[in-house]
Amino acid sequence: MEESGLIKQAKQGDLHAFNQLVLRYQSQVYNLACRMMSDTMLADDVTQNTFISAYQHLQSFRGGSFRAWLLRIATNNCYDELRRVKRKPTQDLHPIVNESGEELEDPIWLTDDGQLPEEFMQSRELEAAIQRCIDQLQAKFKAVLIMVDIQGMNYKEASIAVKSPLGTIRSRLARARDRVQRCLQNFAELLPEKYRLKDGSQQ
Amino acid sequence: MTNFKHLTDKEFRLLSAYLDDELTEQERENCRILLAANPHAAPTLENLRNLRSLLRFLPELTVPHQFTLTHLEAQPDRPGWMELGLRVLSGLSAVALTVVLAIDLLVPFRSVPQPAMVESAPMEDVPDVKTMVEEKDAEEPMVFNFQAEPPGMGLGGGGSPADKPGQIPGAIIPDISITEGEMEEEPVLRDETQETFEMESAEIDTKGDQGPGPILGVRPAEEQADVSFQEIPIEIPLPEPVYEQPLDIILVLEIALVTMFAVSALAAFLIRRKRRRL
Repeated sequence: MEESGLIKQAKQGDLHAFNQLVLRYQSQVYNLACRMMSDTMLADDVTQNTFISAYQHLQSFRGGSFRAWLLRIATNNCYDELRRVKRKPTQDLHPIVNESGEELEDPIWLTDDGQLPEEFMQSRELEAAIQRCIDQLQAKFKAVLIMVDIQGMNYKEASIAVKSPLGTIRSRLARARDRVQRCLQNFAELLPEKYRLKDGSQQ
Repeated sequence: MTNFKHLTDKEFRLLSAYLDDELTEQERENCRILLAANPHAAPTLENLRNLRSLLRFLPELTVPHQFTLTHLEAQPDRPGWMELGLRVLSGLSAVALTVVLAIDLLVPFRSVPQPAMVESAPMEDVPDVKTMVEEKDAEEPMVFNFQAEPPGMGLGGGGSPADKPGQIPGAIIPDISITEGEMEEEPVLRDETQETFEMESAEIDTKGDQGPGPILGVRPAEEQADVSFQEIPIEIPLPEPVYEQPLDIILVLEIALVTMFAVSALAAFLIRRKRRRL
């Protein structure tokens, strides 16, 4: 069934139709929440709350991009949760490194039970480095970067999702890219050759 | 300024949006000019492209479970009667407070009741000044010394024994009149050349040469026109007036409304917070 039909049925109280929409978008909402929160447990809560809130306020959806509307709810939930976590920090999301530089503990979302080959380890380390650079951004920059660069949304959808004008999206994205790029140079040994900064554009 | 020293912030934003194909036709043309003119623009664009590829490299995380809703979870998040009532109460008190404040501020000539004395101080509490003066004088009597002076000199100026028969010959005649209070005892002539009077008057007016008066004494020449007296400080305790602040109804109303608003809003917030956490 098409998205608009599912939305119409869900507005009439059809929970089954709404759950079809949930299945369609849960991965994007969860990924956004994971990247924003850097914590699978919090991301789980945020995702669940997002769909509950979306169902309860479905009547306020006036058409347009349902994905953008849904991600706006998710983003707001992330902001709220980040503020709450900032007030009451509970767990360090980054690996704990001892004095000799040995990693003692992985972030929860990077844990893996199996034996990891070297290549897989490198990609995991790179992934962790990218996530760490993203984490250093302010929430409003982080949201735009995740939506556009990771989830592939266009500027218009992102502007709906974060409820900001297109010019603001463009500006925030450029700044976020600039900062992440500079941050990643601290992990240059992890970056493949083609991802390192080219001469002529560096400081 | 961007951290890329060869490009301005605006140029960097232009390149970033160019990468995403989010420019107008005019902006795109400007970007092409920039890429042709500035040798650092092309490497920067290439770096931005690589960064985007790197970010897209991040794997999509698998959802740990389905987030489909049950009927219980899908129940509308309606506030209870208590919360609803508190919200209404806080809203009404806010509106009422606004109205009262508007009246208080916009009506400049609202009659403000003035403090009024509840009752006059009882007369019996007012000390008798006369009695106090008497008591004070009894403790420290006011003493005036008059000494004899030659005829025709002194305060009595012009006075002559011949003018008033029976008076002391050669004595001056000071004009002493009681302006306030009442002399209760006649001055006693103690001595012909040095007389002491104990008086209870509050003020003695000595007149110069304004005619003869009763002969009270004779002063020496060096003390002529010098009536010495002691100032006796008298402290008169007055009863404290009793005032009653009138009740300003507007002020009382404002305080009551502010309290009502604060309490109801806080209670509604706490109930809502508790409900959402469940």
